[in-house]
Amino acid sequence: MNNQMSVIVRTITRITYGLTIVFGFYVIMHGHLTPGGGFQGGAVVASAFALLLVAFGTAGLKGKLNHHLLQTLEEVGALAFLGLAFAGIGTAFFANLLANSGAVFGGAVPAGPNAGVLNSGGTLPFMNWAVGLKVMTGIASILIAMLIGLRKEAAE
Amino acid sequence: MNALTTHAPILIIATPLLGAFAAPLIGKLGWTVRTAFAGAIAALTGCFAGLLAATLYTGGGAPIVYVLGGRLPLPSGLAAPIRIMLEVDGLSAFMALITALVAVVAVLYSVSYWKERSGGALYDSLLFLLIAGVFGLVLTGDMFNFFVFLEITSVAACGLIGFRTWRKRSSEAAFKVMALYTLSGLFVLLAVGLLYGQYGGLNIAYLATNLGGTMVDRVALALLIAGLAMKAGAVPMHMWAPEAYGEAPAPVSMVLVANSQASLYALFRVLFTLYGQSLSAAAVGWILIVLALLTIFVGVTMALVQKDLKRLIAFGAVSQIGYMLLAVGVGFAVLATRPDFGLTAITGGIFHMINDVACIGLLFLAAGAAIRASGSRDLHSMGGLAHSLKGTTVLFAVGAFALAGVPPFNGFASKLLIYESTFQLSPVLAVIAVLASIVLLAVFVRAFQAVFLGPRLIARPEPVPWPMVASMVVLAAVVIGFGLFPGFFIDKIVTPAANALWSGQGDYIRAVMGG
Amino acid sequence: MNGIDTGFGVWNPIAWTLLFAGALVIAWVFRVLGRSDYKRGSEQTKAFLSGNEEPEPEKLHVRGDHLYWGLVDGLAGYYRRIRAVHTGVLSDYVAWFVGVLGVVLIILALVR
Repeated sequence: MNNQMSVIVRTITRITYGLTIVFGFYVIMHGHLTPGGGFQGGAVVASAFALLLVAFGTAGLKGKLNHHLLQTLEEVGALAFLGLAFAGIGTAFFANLLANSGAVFGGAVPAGPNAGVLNSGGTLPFMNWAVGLKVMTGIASILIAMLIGLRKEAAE
Repeated sequence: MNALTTHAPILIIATPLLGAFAAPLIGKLGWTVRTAFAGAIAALTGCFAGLLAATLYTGGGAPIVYVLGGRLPLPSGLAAPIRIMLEVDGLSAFMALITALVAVVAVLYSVSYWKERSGGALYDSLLFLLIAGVFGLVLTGDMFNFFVFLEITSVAACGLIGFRTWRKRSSEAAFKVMALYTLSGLFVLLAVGLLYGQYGGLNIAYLATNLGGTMVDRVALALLIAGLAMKAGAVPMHMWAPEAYGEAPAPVSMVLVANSQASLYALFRVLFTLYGQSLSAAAVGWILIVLALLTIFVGVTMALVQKDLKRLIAFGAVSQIGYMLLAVGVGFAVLATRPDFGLTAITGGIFHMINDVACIGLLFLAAGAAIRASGSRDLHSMGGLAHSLKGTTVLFAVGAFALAGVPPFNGFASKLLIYESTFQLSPVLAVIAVLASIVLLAVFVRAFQAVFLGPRLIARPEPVPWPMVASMVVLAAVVIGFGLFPGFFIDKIVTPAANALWSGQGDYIRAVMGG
Repeated sequence: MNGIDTGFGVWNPIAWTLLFAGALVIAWVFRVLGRSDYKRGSEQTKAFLSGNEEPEPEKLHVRGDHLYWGLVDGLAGYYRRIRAVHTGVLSDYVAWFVGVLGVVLIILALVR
């Protein structure tokens, strides 16, 4: 079944999908500084998968993304988030261990208006990455499941 | 106070959440590992709930506050608490005990309920997610987190109701429940938004100190009452309940009853703790009473004409929600004058929650065993199962008698409290409640006769595996134990819960706001 | 300790159970004092249906869905209406919800 779209759409997709993924990672990375965060960034990355699916059809994804891998990564993301929450239990659940500790992401935030310090936030950036991983893989597997359903309907 | 006791409130929620996230990964290691993992998670959760309740009761019933991400609810000298927090008083601890009982029994029952051994990891995952959501609902001290946990239970419940996707009716029921739960969740969110817009806070204790009974408060209360009553399954918004309870796998039906009770808990929390006397309690109490009478009456009369075993029990479950609503409605209606029978009514209603979940759970589990054994759920074609399923027969009879309020089982003890206290507000209430109980006995006599008595109509029913029998025995032990020693249990666990509603608003607020 | 005082009455399940057990013992005594010429499996235990042969028990059995036919028939008017309400259509469920919400809103807005 040839369900690719026209050459214009495919060319534009080739140019933009990489940019979309990079932008999604940026939104996750700066989640503790700018609007956005793990969920939004993960959704942006997943939208790149959606773009690929629409432009190239199912053939474009075959073999590259498999259902079991996506599901495992999703669980890893969720467990990482819970693990980070558990890590602070010395003080309280969800306590921020790394904030202002000087370690990675442990930088102090200056008072007053500033451009934003990437090296701050403690465990928050890690939590953003965990959520981002879960959301991008979760939405990707939903998209694939819906596509399989559509193809089954078309075949009937 | 050691660390485990301090962190017990959050561990109760975090442990089943861990189970939900890890179950699909653990499930790849095979059936034995998966089952052992699920059992360990359920047992740990039960232990934490017991620990929390014990801490609360030995501490004299003073509310326990747990703040996430820090130690203090009011960082850097703010006037309003902004951190996420859990607040556990007598009623929360009581609901946590109910949920823990249901969780342990459901996991034990599920071990051998499924005939096929694949796909079970996803079932475990959804079941633990639902349990974590219910625990969150009853322990949280924050309106927005309350909405979040409400949505978690909705999503997990829909997944579980439609879990048997190969059956068309399951998918249909799941779709309807999804739509209605989302609707009720959105109205609750709207109410939370109205309160937040007015007072700039989401903490229940903070809101309770500020509520002034303005028109916006009233609109928010109406949205909360309608949304939560729908999720509890009050008539005339109950139509989803028979479909959901009927189509869900048997252990899930039991957990869904606990989920409905958690919504009911939320309604009581909103009325007594959040609003209290800031508006005319009598009118709200009478709204609840009317809803309750409708629920009781329509529930039992519809149960009488059902031809499907699980739908029959489901309508019975709907009617029981009415008893709790009636008792607590009476308690709220007389909140201004506080006569003694108000507290008795609330005690009866709260006591009926744990009794109901034990009886209805036992009935759903026994019906699940009978349906699994006979391969049918039609009352016309089942029959004579007592010849081969002797244990299940006795257990079903215990559950049926207890639910109908036959002494000496637990249903009688709580219903007696409800009858004798509602009578003092208006005799009509007690008369309808007693009458409905008699019809309910007739309903279950019919179900018992249809499923278990008579000649062998099912040629070779499958035997019931021991984990299923064991889980039913646990519930039957609760039914009989609470029936024979009601005074003891009321004294230990129900009175702190009833007092938390009746006179605990001040303590609840002081635990967070100080002063 | 184990009883309940409702402020209106008293309920003690242990005492009730003992009384019930006593009543069972009395019933058992009556049963023992009864006639001893009953024989299992003889003509005595056969049903007498005006001299007709007894049909198979599977055919005689009153199935569960036939129970309370009279009661339900007597309430036919109520059941016709209440069944018509349970349509199974999602839009109707939502309509009921909106209706209840409206009534509660009006009551709360009017009653001070």
